[in-house]
Amino acid sequence: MRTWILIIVLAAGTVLLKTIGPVLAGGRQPPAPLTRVIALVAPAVISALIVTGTFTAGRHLVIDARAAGLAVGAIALWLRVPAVLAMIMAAIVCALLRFAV
Amino acid sequence: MVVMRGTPRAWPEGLRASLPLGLPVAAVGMSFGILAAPLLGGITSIVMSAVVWSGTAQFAALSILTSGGGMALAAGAALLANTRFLPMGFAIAPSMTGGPLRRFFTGAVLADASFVIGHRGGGRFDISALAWAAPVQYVAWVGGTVVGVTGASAIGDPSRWGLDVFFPVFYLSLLLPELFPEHAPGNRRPRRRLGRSDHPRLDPHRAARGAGSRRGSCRTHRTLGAASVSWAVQHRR
Repeated sequence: MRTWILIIVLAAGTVLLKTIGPVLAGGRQPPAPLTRVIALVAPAVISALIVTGTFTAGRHLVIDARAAGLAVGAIALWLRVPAVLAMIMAAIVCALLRFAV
Repeated sequence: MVVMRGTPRAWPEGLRASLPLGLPVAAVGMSFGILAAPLLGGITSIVMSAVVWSGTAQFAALSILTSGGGMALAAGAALLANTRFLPMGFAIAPSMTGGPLRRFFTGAVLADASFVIGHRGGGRFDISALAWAAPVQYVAWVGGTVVGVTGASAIGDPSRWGLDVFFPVFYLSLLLPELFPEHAPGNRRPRRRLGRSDHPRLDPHRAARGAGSRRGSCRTHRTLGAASVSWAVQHRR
């Protein structure tokens, strides 16, 4: 029962956090300084997702096979390899490193 | 400021841009299913993915519960992880149209990837592309969880196959065009120095043509080429 309550709380809280901005500020033009900040939100969010997805394990910072995989993926993307292929290359390197270690 | 409120082609663009993300999202969803099923139960894990639909929050809650923490702590950690949606929601708000109900439902399907897919640079968002990017991610997330729950024993640890690196590499593929438009996949046009007279803001007709053209091959900027040029100009100064 407590698990279901947790799920309901998480679902309601997540929807609330996602919709406050669109409902309250939808269609309104923000001041120019705020616009400049908003322009940086997407790159900042993506960067944070990359870092946390690569260098964290639970609540710890780690450098493991994912970092090598990301490096390979980065080189592939820099060379304009399609994203899906770059992801597969990164996964292969990551898996081989884990297998070897 | 040119505000992009969606184009007639925005929904297939959103779907198309979202498809490559299906793979990493499904992989992460599978990881969640594998890890959550023994603790929460199969059905509960699937329902959680279906109604919460936030990997960060779900993993945060799961890690707290796994380490022996209580439900309140798990809920707090999960919602804290989701507070990033607050600035993201305010970021997309200026580009939205329609009444509060429409904006509510559009905001409700906001996800990390759709936020990136809908971003057109300079703080502008294509809301149609953002909304149409959501179905693929939702199906991939819930489907991945189902696969993880039902086939956990056969698949084993997804990280053994290196699947956990899918997510950061995919996001890197979205970040690179944001930072270096000339390094977008498939963008092989020679670089041209842009003068002030090329700035689309100074020529609304040029901006409109660019917005409707398919010439811009940068992944996140394809539909709205003029906006991406504006972004590039601003950030090379």
